[in-house]
Amino acid sequence: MMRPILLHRFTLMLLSALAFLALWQAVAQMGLVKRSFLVGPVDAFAVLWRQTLNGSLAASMLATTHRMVTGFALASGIGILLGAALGSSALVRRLLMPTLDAIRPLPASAIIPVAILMFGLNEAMSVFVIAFGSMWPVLLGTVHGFQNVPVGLRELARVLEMGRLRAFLTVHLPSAFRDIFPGLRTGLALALIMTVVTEMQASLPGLGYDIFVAQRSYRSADLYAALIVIGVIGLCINQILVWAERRLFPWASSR
Amino acid sequence: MQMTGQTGQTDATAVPRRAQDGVAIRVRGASMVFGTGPQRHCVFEGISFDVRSGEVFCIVGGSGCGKTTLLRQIAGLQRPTSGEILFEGAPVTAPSRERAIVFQDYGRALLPWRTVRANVRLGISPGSVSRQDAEAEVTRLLAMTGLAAAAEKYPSELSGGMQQRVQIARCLAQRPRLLLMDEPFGALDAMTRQSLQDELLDLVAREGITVIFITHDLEEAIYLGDRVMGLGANPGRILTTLDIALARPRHQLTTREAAEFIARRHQLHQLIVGH
Amino acid sequence: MRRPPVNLLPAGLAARMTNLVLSLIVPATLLIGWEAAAAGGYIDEGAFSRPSSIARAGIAAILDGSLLTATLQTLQAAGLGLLVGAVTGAVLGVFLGLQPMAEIATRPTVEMLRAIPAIAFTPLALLVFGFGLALQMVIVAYATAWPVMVAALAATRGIDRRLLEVADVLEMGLARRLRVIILPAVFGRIVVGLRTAMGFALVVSVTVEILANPRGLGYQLILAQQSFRPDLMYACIVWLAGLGAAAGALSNLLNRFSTEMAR
Repeated sequence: MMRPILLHRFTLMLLSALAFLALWQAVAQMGLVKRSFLVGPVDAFAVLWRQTLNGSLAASMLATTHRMVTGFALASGIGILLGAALGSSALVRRLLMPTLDAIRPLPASAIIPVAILMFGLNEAMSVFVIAFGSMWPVLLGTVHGFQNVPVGLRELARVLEMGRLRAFLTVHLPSAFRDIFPGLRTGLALALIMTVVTEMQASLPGLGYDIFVAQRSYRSADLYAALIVIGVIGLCINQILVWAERRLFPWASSR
Repeated sequence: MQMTGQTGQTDATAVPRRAQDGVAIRVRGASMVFGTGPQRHCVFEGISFDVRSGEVFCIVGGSGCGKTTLLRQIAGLQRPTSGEILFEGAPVTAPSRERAIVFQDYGRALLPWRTVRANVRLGISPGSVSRQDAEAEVTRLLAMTGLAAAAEKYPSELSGGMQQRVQIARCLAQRPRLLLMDEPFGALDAMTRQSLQDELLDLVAREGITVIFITHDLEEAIYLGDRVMGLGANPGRILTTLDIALARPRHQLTTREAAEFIARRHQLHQLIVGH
Repeated sequence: MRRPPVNLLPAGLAARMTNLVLSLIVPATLLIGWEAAAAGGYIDEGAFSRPSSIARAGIAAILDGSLLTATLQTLQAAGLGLLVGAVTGAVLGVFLGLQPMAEIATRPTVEMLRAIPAIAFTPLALLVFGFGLALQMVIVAYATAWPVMVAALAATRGIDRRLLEVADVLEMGLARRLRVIILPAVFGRIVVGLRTAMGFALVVSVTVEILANPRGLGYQLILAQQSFRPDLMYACIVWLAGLGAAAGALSNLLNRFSTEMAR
């Protein structure tokens, strides 16, 4: 029963995606919209093919991904460590949480000028902004996770006379991870956004900068090509996380 | 005990501290009282009793008699507001691996992200034995508790009875000298409950462990216990402590039909339920 | 463990005072240390103006009206963009929720478009609309439409089929069906999506201003940085944090309102 339905759905999705591309191409070719505004998929994919051949696509993708991953790794590290401290100690929470709550509502991109003053228009500034922007969901998820370790598990750690480190590693961290993971997920999505923003702002090589250059030189096909690649990266991130969730929480899926 | 090669020497404190007077737990005037003046709330006050080494000691009482609190004090998870508790002569101040506890709420006392095998392995003190010996011990305990087939499953994939078996296996892996059980079979269906009762008696007899077993079920207490202590509620106090003169091994049908069983049940029922 | 009630009032008050004192330690130390270090010449005031000059710059910007004008521009774009985005998202979500085939058919396109960050469209929108309100509004609308759409879609799909069958039996028209059955059923979930969207609206609005659009607070911010006025820049940042907090409070209010409605 399951198989034909799945197949049917898949065919429908594939056909509709093709139909969407055809429609897009048709609208672009009819000339209703100025060519500098709307480019058909044929032209966009031609650009992608050319960029694949001359290696510029791979270079841009690599630069963007590398920047994003660096910033996000920094954000996760700080977010999880700080979050663990905040979530495990009421004193640390009372000392720091109000200050963090005051900074948190600040739109992340507003930190860009500060980062420019601190670092200049360079890689460090970009990584700092990405980390700042993507840290908050990780931090909040971690605090929540550590605050909500079930009492039974805390007592289990006491009864088994676990030391602080062992209790942290075997009980508290894995228990909190269920709340940390969604934070990481949101954080990674934000990291991609902040990467594109800082690339545009600081003219750092990457997909965001490609979009900017394409617009300034009125090469719309390049612009659409770069947008498609960013979308694909976003989709890949999502798929990787879905896969990671299944791998990391095999015990949760069988429930 | 047919152990697989481990010797008791790794655990240096184990030998000298074993109680010479045959008393595993001595409770002296333990109380649990909150607040003062008009807001004073007394869970129980001035409770004293001894639990002998090697016996199965059941504590039975209705809700509000403080039996769970008492057990947590013996485990060292909570301190009595006054009075003291001695384990083999030494005051209980903190939880210890020597006093394993099976929690009532099995769903929250197992690590959901670890397999059954890994949960049982938690009980073995890290570094106390070699990796192979530890694995062999876990395998032995899994077989003994009927979990061999479920070893690689996660707790959420198991029934309540199986999860409670995992807790018991983990506690046995601690090589405890005292096993504390807080209504461990309370949430299980009657069939599972009876088979687990028999398995438990079999296990503690084989491993030679002292057991303190808490329940609100009079029959369960009599069936399992060498002695049964009945607690009254509001405030919690000892109503009686009965010796149960039933032969071991016990049997679900014949033991429950014995005259001694029925007499003790009457006695406890009148004291605790009151009519 | 049942614990009898204790006298909460004095203890609660004392705890609140302790909390207040504890929470002020860190920011107070930072601010005083910052001010003192700047006064002693230990930090570069070209990058970190001292708190007192930031306060002065902030007050001046409030008094001459520039900060308020910029705030209104930012909020206008955020608000209008949110309105367009939320309505589009809700309509799309409800439509796709009622038409499962259409939902499956559009899923690849929707997933692809959703994966592209709204901000990445800024250069394209700049080509089409040029500088100004429209540019910013469109980007905000794009960013805010998705969370509302996803919420509306899930909510509509979750409507009890029997309710829809009742509507069939009663031969309800679409308008009546929407008003009587669908909208009340999906309202709560859409508000949840709307709250996420509200969070996006301000951020996206400011970001477009920082990147491309010469108006609003984002532009003030980047202008202050480029014209070597770090005091004004930090004042803008503090102001923006306050604005963000206000948006958060508004979002919580909306939440309370919708739960009251649901009762």
